[in-house]
Amino acid sequence: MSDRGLLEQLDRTTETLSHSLTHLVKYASITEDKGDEEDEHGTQEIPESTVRTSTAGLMMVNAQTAQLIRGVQDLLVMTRNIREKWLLTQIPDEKIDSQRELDYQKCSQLLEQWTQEVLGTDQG
Amino acid sequence: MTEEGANGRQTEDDGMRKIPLAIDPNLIRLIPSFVPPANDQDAEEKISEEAQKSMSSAQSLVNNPYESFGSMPLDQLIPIILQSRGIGSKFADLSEDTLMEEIAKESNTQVDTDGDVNMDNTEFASDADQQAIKPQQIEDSSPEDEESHVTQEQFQQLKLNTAQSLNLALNESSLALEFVSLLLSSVRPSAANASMSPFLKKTVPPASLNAEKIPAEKPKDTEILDRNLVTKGWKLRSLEESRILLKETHKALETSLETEHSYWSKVAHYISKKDVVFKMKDKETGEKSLGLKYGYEDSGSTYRQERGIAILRHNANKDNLEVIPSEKRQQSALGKDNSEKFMRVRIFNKIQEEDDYVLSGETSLEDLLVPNSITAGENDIRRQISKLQFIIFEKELMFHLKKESENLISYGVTIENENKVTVEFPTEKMEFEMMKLNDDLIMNHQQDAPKTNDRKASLILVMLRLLLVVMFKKQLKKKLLTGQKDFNANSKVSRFPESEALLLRPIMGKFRHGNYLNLLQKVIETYILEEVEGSTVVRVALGNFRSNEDYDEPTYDKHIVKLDREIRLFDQILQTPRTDLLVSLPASGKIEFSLQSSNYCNATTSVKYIDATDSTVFDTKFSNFKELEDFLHFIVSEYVKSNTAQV
Repeated sequence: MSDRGLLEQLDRTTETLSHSLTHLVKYASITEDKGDEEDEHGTQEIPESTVRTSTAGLMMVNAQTAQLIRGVQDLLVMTRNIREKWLLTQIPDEKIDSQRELDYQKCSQLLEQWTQEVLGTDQG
Repeated sequence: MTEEGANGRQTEDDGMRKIPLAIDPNLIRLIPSFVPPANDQDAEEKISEEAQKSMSSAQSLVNNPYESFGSMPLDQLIPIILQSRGIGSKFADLSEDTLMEEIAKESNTQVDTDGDVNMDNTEFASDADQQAIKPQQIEDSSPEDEESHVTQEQFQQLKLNTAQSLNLALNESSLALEFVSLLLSSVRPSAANASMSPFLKKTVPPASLNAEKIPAEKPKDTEILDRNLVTKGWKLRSLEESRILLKETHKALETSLETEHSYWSKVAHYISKKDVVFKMKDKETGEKSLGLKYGYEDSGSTYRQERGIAILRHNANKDNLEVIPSEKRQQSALGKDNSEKFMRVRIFNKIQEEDDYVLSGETSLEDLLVPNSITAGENDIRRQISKLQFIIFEKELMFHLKKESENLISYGVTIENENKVTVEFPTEKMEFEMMKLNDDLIMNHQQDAPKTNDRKASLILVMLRLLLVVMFKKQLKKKLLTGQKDFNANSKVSRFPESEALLLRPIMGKFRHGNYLNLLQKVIETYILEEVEGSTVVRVALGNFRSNEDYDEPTYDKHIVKLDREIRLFDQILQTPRTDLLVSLPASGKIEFSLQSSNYCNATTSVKYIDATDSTVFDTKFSNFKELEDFLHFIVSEYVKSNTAQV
């Protein structure tokens, strides 16, 4: 996924998160509902019906909470994606990682020494 | 019939001509052809009936329509509005005279039921006529006047649009009327019956529609309290559920976040850029995971028995990374034993008298394989990777060793079993064996007393490994070269002649060559040095004759240059052994010996006899020392001795 895609996804997720959180907070307040109704209908003294209450409650638990959780999970998945991306697309740095130049002279000497040691004992 | 009346009126109403209303002709024509108009007629009838009734009941509907519009019930008002639609503004313009004339004219022509209406409901009828009249006027007048402005097509279009709108309006209004009639039928059946259309009467029973206004009942205080309580209870309950859900998820997520974090920080810490890492699915747990390639394929290995892939798995219990080879599970599932093995080299010396060998040297266990408690924590993962790399390397080494040994049976190499290769020399024997890594070995690893040939054994083992690396490098160079050139042309070539394994032969060759050299020197000694007085043998130093041969193809890729240099380092090991000896014979020239091998293991001796006059007398090759002995004897007796005798 491209950087842009990731950013867009981040925006989307944050938006859903704040959205569902707002819903939860709104629902949690006791007085606010009445205020709303007062503005709209002026029937504030009539409490909402039981059906509506229960439906709203279930909605909140099932939809908003679940959405909140899913949003957080999405964010976690995203961080993992970013980490994978970071790990899998790194390119070896040639200057730092390139092997030290072999000391050919020394290697050659060592090889000669090997020959002498292995065969020397044999011949001797 | 209204048209006729209208035509009659046409000339008289000149003042109205310029009003650009395009509605009328349609209205006139449409009214009789549609259902709503029929309804209208019905309605008119009804209205008249109603009017008649109401007259008796002192409801003066008919005589003063203006007054009645306000007080009229809807079912009567609507048809009137319907009929007078669009011309309401002109209604006031009508003069009484014209109306009177109209009525007079109409009364002459009208014979049928409408007459009733007109008579009873004069104003109303005249109203209806008025509609008809004005349109007619306009229809006739506007085309004449505005022909230049409105084309025929436009006019037709306008006409069509208007007709459609009117139809729609008519339909809507009659529907509304029907609705009101039906509603009314429960209260005033007769009135409703009169205004309902036949269709409605047939399909819907009267008094079947009802409407009632129910006053909103104010809940009692206790009820309000009760409901408020229920609401709050629900809210509390839902919030509680939500809280529990969130808390549980938070816990779960936190733990997974923690493991993830430690996993990734460990990966970041231990996995360097040089490691080959890729996404992979962990088949055991089904999770997405990271794979690590510890095999040497990218380094030029051609070993395909094992893929050399491991999964980086996080062990939550120990909180560390684990490297789990993907083959391990598969093979254990297949019942294959895939225990960790490493190569051990042992050297046995032959006991002269008996036909038996005694162990004189062996390689020790690699430190890597010994579980080390000191480094366990810190570098655990790197250690695990190194160990896996080591083991797969050893496996590949054995794999190639066995392959190479297959063709060396005639030179004392035997494959005893799939884990053991033995090489026999006249005085000693070497064993290359894959040892399983088990506890006994680890326990015994440092208890053995050092032996004389331990160092030699480990040197040989190191050289074997180095030679395998050289094989890798050659392969790598080939890949690079074929990559540079036309890939397709070379892919076949690079696949088939797999670079031949050169592991055992260079090492064996050295030993064998040494033995051959000893033999040759003995032969020279017995047949020349002891026979010819004053003769000496000198070993001729060999120029590094192959050093520049590989420059046949200039390459500018620095990787290839580097590989070339590294490979060439091993030329002194890999080149077939050769030793030149020069035997100088006093006053009789010299003999040059050259001991060579074409395949590391055999030996050919070329002999060149040059006499005192610098002319080459013999130049031959022997692969058999017996023949060489005979030949030397021949030369010495025939040429050298006779020469000295002559001298």
